[in-house]
Amino acid sequence: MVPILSVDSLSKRYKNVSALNKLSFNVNKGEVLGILGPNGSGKTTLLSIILGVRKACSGTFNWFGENYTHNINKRIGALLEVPYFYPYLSVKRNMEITAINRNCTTDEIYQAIEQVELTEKLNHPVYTLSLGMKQRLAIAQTLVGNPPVLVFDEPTNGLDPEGIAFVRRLIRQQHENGKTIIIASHNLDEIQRVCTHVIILKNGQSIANGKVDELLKLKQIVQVETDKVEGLKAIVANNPNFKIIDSYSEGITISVADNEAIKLLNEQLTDKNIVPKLFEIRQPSLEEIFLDQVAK
Amino acid sequence: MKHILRTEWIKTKGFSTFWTLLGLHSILFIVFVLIVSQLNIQLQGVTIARFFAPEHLWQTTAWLASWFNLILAIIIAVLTGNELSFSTFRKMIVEGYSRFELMLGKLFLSAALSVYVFIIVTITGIAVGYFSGAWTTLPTFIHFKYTLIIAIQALAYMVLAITFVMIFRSTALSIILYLLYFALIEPIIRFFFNSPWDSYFPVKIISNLTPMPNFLGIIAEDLQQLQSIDPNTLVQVQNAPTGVTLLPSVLIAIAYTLIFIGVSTLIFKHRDF
Repeated sequence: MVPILSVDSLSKRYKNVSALNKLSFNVNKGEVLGILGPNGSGKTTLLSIILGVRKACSGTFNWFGENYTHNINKRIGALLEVPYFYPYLSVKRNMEITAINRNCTTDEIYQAIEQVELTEKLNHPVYTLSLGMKQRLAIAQTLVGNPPVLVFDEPTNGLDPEGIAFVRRLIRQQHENGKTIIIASHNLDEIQRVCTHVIILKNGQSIANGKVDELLKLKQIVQVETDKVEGLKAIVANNPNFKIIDSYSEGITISVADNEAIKLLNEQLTDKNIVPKLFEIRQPSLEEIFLDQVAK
Repeated sequence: MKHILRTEWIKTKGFSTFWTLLGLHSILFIVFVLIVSQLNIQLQGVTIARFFAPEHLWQTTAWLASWFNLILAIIIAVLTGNELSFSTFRKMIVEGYSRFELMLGKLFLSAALSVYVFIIVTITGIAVGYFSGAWTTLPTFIHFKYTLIIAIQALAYMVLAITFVMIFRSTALSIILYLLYFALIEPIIRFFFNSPWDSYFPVKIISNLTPMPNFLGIIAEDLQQLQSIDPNTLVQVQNAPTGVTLLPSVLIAIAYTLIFIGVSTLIFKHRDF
């Protein structure tokens, strides 16, 4: 099966800073790929390049098995960073500008506007809309023409909890309709809830890539609380098998690779006479996997 | 092409600043030309109305209109600069417009404004012709070519404005530098070049498309009727050298316009948005 998006050794430099460094990955039909990474990891640069807004220094990418041309973007609904509009034009006119290039009818504009619940704002100038409404309008523009692929860069930026839940519902709905979706976000909980696959970027490179379920099985999380926290920290710091994810006054949260590492930790605590008040083993959240990978 | 025209029309139609500046351009120009043509100033028997006589009317009107072409360049600079400051060029690329189409949209807009200049100069010229009594029956179109040429001049000014905005990316900075280039930078550069090379600089060539009517020649013509002047002297005054002649000026101005379009297209093609 031809991947929807295939990225091969993509690199981008801004003067002396490497934003992307030989990045390669594929996105297959029907996947919801989450792109994670700290600030400056290259998420927006990556999306800008694959959408033709910026030029890569080297490497290639193709969509739908075809070399990139501007016409490819007509098959992709994309929201890049903050929503951009002609603020002096009405919601309808802004939608028309998107629709004209995609040969869409006025009915399709109304449908997209209805999906994001902005029908009553149709004739209002965009500058009168709240940030949340603008974000919804930007999402409506991505839906015009029913493109098979959606790309969202921080889609829940500036949204209140109700708005976030709305976007989450919409993404799930679009996924159920068979669309392939790519989301770059800081909101790890959001990614875990809606994505099937994830790629974690650091300094423009992929440090983890795969199905969300499989990534969550790669590590285990151990939360330990004791009166001798400093002693506990010393044990963990001296062993490369353990990595501190979180530290607080009563204890620490660490990630470990397997059961052997947990056994080893237990033995070392006994040797040092450190009695845990709490010793809890659980599956990690995506946030903990992210922190584990990024802290490497 | 049709979709670019429709898109540009939607964007421009709803932009009130565009209509304000365009209204300002037409009102200032029409009022100015009508007032100047109605002035009854006589200097030693020569009246200003002579400059609006049928044989000079179109050149004088085109020359006066050329003073207002900078407003059109500012309009285009504002419209192009808006696209950069609102990041809507970026958005349009994301939505599937090609970079060349973005450039083409602004070129179409500039061309439309050139047609507007042609129409407004023609209408104003006809109105002035009748109001000043130059025509009693049908209008005459001696030197009407200047009305077409001013449209070329307007286009060249606007395309240069697009190039400035694409280079400097800021509307305000681009407009300031554009005006400085006209008024200061190019004249200073020209100062270091000898004749005839100083006549071939872009602004010089483009502004020479609508040369100042030969007022001295017209005055001398009138004076000849009042006093006896050697006809040979008159011929010399009327044919006083004014740098590059009209046809080469038009061709070079068109060449410069194409160069500006080329530079802007290259910037559009290679710039990160």
